[in-house]
Amino acid sequence: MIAIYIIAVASLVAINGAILGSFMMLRRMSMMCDAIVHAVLPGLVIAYLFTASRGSFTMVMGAIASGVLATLLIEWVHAKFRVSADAAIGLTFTTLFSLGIILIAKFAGRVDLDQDCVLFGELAYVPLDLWITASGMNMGPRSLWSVSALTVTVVTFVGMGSRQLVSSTFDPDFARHQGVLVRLWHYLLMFMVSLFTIASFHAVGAVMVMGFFILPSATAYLLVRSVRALILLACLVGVLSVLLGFLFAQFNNVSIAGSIIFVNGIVFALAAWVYQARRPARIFENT
Amino acid sequence: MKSEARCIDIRDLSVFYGNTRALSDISICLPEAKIIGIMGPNGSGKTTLLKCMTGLLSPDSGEVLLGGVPVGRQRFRLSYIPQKEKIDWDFPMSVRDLVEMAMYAKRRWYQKLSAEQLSRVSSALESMGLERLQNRQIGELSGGQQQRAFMARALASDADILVLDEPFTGIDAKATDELIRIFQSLRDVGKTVILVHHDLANAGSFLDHVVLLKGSLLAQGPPEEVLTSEVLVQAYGVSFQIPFGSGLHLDGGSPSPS
Amino acid sequence: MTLFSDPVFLVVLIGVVMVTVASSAVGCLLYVQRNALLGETMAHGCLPGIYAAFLLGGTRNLGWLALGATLSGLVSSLLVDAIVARTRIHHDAAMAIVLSWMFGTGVVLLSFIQQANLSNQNGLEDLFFGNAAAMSWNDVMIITGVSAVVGVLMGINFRRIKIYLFDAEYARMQGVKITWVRALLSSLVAMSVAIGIQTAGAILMASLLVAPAATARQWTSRLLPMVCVALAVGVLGGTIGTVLSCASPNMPTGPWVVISMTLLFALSIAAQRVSGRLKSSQKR
Repeated sequence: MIAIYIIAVASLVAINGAILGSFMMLRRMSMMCDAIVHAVLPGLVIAYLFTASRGSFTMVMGAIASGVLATLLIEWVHAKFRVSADAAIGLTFTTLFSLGIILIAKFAGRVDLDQDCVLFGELAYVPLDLWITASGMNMGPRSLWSVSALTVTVVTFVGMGSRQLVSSTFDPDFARHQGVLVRLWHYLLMFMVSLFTIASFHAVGAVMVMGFFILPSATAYLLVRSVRALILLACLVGVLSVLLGFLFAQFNNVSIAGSIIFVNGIVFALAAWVYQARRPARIFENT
Repeated sequence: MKSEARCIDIRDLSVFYGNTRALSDISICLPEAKIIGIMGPNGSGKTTLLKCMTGLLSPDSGEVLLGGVPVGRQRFRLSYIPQKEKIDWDFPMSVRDLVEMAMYAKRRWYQKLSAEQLSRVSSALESMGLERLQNRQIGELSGGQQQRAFMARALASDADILVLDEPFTGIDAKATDELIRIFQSLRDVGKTVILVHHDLANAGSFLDHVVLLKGSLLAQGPPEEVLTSEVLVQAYGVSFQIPFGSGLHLDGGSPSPS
Repeated sequence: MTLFSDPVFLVVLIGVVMVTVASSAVGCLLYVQRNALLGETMAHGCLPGIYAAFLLGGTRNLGWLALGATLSGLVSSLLVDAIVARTRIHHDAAMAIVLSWMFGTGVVLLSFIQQANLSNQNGLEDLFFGNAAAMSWNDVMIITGVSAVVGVLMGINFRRIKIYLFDAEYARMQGVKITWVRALLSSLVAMSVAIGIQTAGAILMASLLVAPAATARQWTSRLLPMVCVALAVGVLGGTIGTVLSCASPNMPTGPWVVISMTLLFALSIAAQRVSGRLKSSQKR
C-alpha cells in the first residue's frame, strides 16, 4: 500500500509536470521554470510565518504570488535595464531563493520547513502524512489529495485552453490577431507552473520539480509531430520513469525522487538515440 | 476602381517607440484587389505599418479603416503572415494543424471543427498545392512550401486581405516565381495582397501599387511612377535602374502591370 | 572592527574573495555570450562529481572534491553541447535537462552516501547552500591556486576568447581553434564554479557569475573594463556577504553573498539613473 501511494503521488506529479513542461519547452521558457521553481520559496515561507500552518490556502497563494512576481520581475529587469534575458533570470531567482533560505534559517524554530525538505522532498514520507477526518476516517495521504486536485486543475486548464495556448505559443501575432489574449494566457501558464511547483515540492523537492517538468516533455519532443502527441507521450514517459525510478530506488535504497530523475535522463538518452537513428531519412526526403 | 468602399484607408497614422518616432502622419488610401508592395530602407517603419493595419499595434494617433469601419472591428477580413525567422520551425505541428489554427478562434474549447470548417481547411490546402504534404511537420517543408502553408492558413480564415512581412526571404528564384503567381491568382479572385518587399530588381514586374516609406510617406502609386530614380535617391541615397514589366523571371510569363 | 582581526574570519574572507575574483571575471565572458545560465547548469552539474569523488577517494579534501566538481561540470557543458548539436532541442531546454538530471543524480549519490553511513560525510549537504565558515587554511590555498590558474588562463587567452565571443566565424578565419576556445571557456567556468560551491552553494552559484557581470555591464560596454568593474563588484559583494553571514552564525553563507551582490546591482542601477539625470541636466 505504501508503495502504491508513493507511485500514485509521483505519477500524478509527473503527469502534471509533463503537461505544463511541454508548453514551457515549446515556448522556450525551460529556464523560466527553473526560476519559478526557485522563486516560490520566499512566498511560501512568508505566508507560512503569517498563518503558521502548512498547506493552508494563504500559503499556496503566497507562493503563487511570489512565483508570478518572479516572472514579472524578470521581464521588468530585462526590459527596463540593460540586462539580457538569461542574466535577468539568473539574478532574480537566486535573489528570491536566497531570501527564502535566509527566512527559513532565521525562523527555523517557527517554520516547519527545513532545507532538506526544500531540496529533496519527502516522497518516502508521503504515506505517513495521512489525512484523518474529524470523524476519524482515514482518507489516505494528504499529498495524494493535493496532487489529485492539481491534476484536475491542470487537465481542465489545458483542455479548455489548448487552442489558445498552442496558437499563442507558436505564433503570438497571429493569435493576438485572432483575438486570443496572449498576455493573459502567458500569465495563466506562469500561475499554473507556480501552483504545480507548490503542490509538488513537498513530495519531490524544489529543485527536482525541474526534472519533472523538463525531462518527460523533452523526451517526448524528440519523437512526436503534434502537440497532442507531445503531451500524451510526455505523460507516458513521466509515469514510466516513475515506475522504473521507484524500483531503482528500492533496489539501491536511495532517494526516490532523485532516482526517478536519473532514470528519466536515461530514457531521454534512449529517445535521443532513436531520434538520431531516424533523422537522416527525414532530412533528405524534402521535395 | 478607387471607390470609398473598396479601399484600405489609413488616416494620419503616427507611431512612437518611446521617444523615437517610427511612423509619422501617414495617410494613404490603398486600392483593394491589388498586389501592394511596401518598400523602404531598413528601419523605415514597414513592419510597424503592417502591424497597424492588422490591428496588432495600436497607433499613437490616426486610424486604419476598411470600407469606412475601423479595422479593429473586422480583424477577420485581414490575415497577417509573419516573417519566417519569427517562426519556430521545430514546433511539433503538421501543415494541416497549422491551417486548422485559423479556425481556433471560431470554436469553443469543447467543440471540434465542423465538417464545413474541415472542408475549408482542405480546400485552402488544395489551392496552395499542399494536399499531399498536409501531414508533414512544418519544418520538413521547403522555404516556398512553408510560405504557402502560411498562405493557406490565411485563406482558410476567410481573409480577403493578406498581409505578408518579407515573404521572399530565404526562397530561391523558382519558389519566388511560384509565389508571385499565387499572389496574382489571388488578386484575380479579388483578394488584396500587401507585402513588405525588399528586392527593387523585381518590384516593378509584379507589384500593382507601391508605397515607399522612410519614417513618413515618400511616395505611392503604380511602380513605374514611384520607383523613379529621383524618388529612390531620396529613399535610399543611391540611384537604381528599375526594370519594369516582365523579363526577369525564369519563365518570363508573368503579366506586366498596365 | 574586531571581526577583521579574527584570524578565522580572515581565512574565510580571503577564501570568499578569491572565489569571487574567479567567478566575476569568468561571469563576464558568459554574460556577453548571453549564456549566463550555463553557470547555473554547471553548478548543479558539479554535484555528482563531488559525491563521486568523495565515494572514490573517501576524503573531504577540497582539492580532490574540486577536481571531481570540475570534471563533472565539464561533462555537463559537453552534454548541453551534444544535445543541441544532435537533437532539435534548443539551448535553454538542453541546459534545463542537464541541470535537473545532474542534480537528481547528485541527490541519488548523496542519499547513497548517507545510507552507507561513511565516517566523514558530515558537511556534504553544505554544498547546496554553501558554508564558508567551514573553510580551512588548506581550502583557501587550493581556492587561491585554482583562482590564479583561472586568472592566468584567461589573461593569456583574452584576445582569442574575445574574438570568439564576438564572432565565432571570424575567429575561425583568423586561425583561432574554436573547439579549443570552447573547451577553455567551459573549463574556466567549471573551475570557478568548483571552488565557489563551498562558498555560495550549488544552487546559488549562478549569482556569483551573473550579478557582478550584470552590474559591470551597466557602466561599460567594453569587455576588459567590464571585467575590471565586475572584479571590484564581486570582491565587494563577497566581503559584505561574508561579514553579514558571520554576524549570524547559524546560516549558510551563499544566500547572504547573493543578497549583497543583488543589492550592489540595484544600487549601481540607482546610481546610474541619478548620474544620468545629473548629466542631462548639466547639458541643459
